Amino acid sequence: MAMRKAFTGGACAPGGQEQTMGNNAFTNMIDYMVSGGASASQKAEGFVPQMDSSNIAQMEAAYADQQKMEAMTKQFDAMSMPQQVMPQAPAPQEHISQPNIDQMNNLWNNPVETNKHADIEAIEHKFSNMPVHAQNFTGLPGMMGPMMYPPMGMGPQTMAPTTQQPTEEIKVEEVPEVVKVDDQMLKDDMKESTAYLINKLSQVPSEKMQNSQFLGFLKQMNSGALEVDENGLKENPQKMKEFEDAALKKARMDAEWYKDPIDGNLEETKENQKFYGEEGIIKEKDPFTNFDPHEFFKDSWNADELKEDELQKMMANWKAQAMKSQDFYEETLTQPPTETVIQVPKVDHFKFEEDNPYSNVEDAYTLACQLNEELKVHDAILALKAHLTKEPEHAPSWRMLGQLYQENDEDDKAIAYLLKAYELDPYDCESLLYLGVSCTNELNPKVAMNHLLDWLRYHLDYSDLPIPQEHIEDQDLLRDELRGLLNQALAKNPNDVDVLICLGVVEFGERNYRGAAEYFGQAVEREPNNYNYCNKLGAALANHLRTDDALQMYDRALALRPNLVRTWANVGVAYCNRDRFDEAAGKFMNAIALNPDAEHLWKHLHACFWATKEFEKCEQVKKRNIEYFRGEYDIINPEMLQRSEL
Amino acid sequence: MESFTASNNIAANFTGEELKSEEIFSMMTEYLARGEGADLSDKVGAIFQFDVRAKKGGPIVGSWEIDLKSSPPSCKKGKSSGPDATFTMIDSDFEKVCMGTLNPQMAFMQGKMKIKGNLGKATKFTPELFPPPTEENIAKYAKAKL
Repeated sequence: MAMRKAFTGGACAPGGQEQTMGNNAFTNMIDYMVSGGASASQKAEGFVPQMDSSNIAQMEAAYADQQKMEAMTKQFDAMSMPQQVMPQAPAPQEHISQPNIDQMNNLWNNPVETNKHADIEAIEHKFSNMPVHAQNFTGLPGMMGPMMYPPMGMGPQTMAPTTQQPTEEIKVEEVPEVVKVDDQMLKDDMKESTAYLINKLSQVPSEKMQNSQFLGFLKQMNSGALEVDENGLKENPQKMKEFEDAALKKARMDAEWYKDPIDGNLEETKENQKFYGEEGIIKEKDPFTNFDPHEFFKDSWNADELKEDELQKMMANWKAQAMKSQDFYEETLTQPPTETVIQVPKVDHFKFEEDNPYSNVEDAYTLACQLNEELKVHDAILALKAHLTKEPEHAPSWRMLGQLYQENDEDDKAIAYLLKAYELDPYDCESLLYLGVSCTNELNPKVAMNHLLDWLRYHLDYSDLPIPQEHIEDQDLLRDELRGLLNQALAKNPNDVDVLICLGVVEFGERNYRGAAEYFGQAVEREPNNYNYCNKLGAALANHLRTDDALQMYDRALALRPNLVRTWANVGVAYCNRDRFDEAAGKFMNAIALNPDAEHLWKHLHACFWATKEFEKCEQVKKRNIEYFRGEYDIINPEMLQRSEL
Repeated sequence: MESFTASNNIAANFTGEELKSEEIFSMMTEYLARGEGADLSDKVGAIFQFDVRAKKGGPIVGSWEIDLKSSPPSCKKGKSSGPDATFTMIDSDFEKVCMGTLNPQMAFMQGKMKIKGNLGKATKFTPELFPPPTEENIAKYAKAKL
């Protein structure tokens, strides 16, 4: 009886409870592996062999395997159901926290240790104290939902016992029932239990597990390629071939699956459209017929990712391209049209317009400065471009172009022009300051901060500070370093408002809007009529959700500079933040009237009318028909504006 | 070195099309920074990283971290130091998932979305956690500029 218990995992507990695991062909198979042939099959059939030394060794071996089985099953459960309630098994000493794949694989590889001086009673004692291994098969993780491979019934324990278990005493002398276990039952049992284990193992998100020999072995058993008979494991040649063919076919099919030209972007072919319907939701073919979860997962986990060295290569590539400066800009900046709400072809920043009214002017740069004073920003830009066509190396023109675009709420173009200015004249600190601002707006605080670091480096007054030679990659380190240096600069020159602005920009980039507002507030105190500072303070206040104070600041900026597109846009954004979309629309319209080239302004306007559900207006926005709104909204007239200022 | 970091910035901005993901993550960042969705840390309790490709088979052009474990939860641009799960997908698919027109389970089945790491935690990320990135919402969570 004890012998049977050894191989049935203590199926007969003292309390007579049916053990949920162990009394099946799988454990019997273990016997085969360990103790060999005929005796094992006899045990499966319930014979009681004689107790002699070799049997004892076998018992110990079997016990060891039993323990391994239990340990493994515990680990499977621990891996796949980390949040599930653990079974109320009294097994405090068997705490398994981390699944250890290697250990589990090795369990099957390591030879069994035998203790020559086994005490039969001790062994029996251990058996009777083995915990009830109630197993909660609560199925698979939620994500896969109803689509997923359903749980395998309740695992192997639903299999009806092949033998009747006596419910009372468990003594060695007890005569077991003899029940003939036929081959088919064995096979079914094997299939069920291997399927259960395969299922569990497949949920482990580890490449090693998926590729493990053990899993492969289980699958072979499951498919019938490997069989168990009285002599042990045997290959069924026909089934094995089938198994291998199927595996190969699956591998090929999966490779095809991933080569499938279905991608979510706009160039979906008509064929894919038909197959996948409107939004990539499968209409015709049901992907879940023949769905094999473990094979599917295996390929997902093995999928490619961008490796570190590939990333380095890519960045090096960018750098090489950047060295070609002008060519690089021209290449990358002529892009195909974007699929936005409004279709607009992208403009090449460095191809200036052919018919430029200022192309024959002597010193277009000076003229541009003058035009800017007169609030004629559009004309000033044209004049600058005319000048640059003649003198492409004139750094101040590039810088001014960058500044004007920044004020016109086009940071991306501003960055391009400012970089050009900096390239031509590394000591042009103003460009670096503007760059810091635009990069921050474009949500690139690290790049912005490195620009500000350069600003310090090339600044006449501050170049003697302990500025690190190279750019700093780590953002936190960079921020701390920069803050320290800027404070040192401020200590050196307490009246330098630029340093205050830099400090504010750093805080703004780190989303510390309160800190930013403090610095910008100081700047505004020093120079109350500086529209640029007023706008910055307003922006910091707005992002800190002090909308009313922000609007006051914006008003002040606009009083000083009525054509400041950036601020009009900021006002619109402020109203949107407060869900006042109809009022916001009017503000965006003013911004657009001053600079119709800014894409995102049209998008914002469209969003406003979408929110207020005025769809006819949305259509007009798409057509870029600003005149449509002139009656209803009090839109700024740029011409009028400028004349009245003079 | 200067031109490298600067052109890094440019390349990120001019990848042919502007990344929709950039807009969406900006919105999420702002949404969380404003203190909305503060209960997400309790509900989810995991850190996710999103790697976005511009197009299929292309390199990863942007990574974002959504930290729904710390209190308060946050979102930031850049790779995560300790994500529980990492999602990789192309920009337009990500937008579809966020808008609810592409089921995340479907995306995973079709291979449009790859997941690495703790699958159990990955399943906790659903688009319903955040407001959909409609035009209205993106405008609502827009930020003022310097």
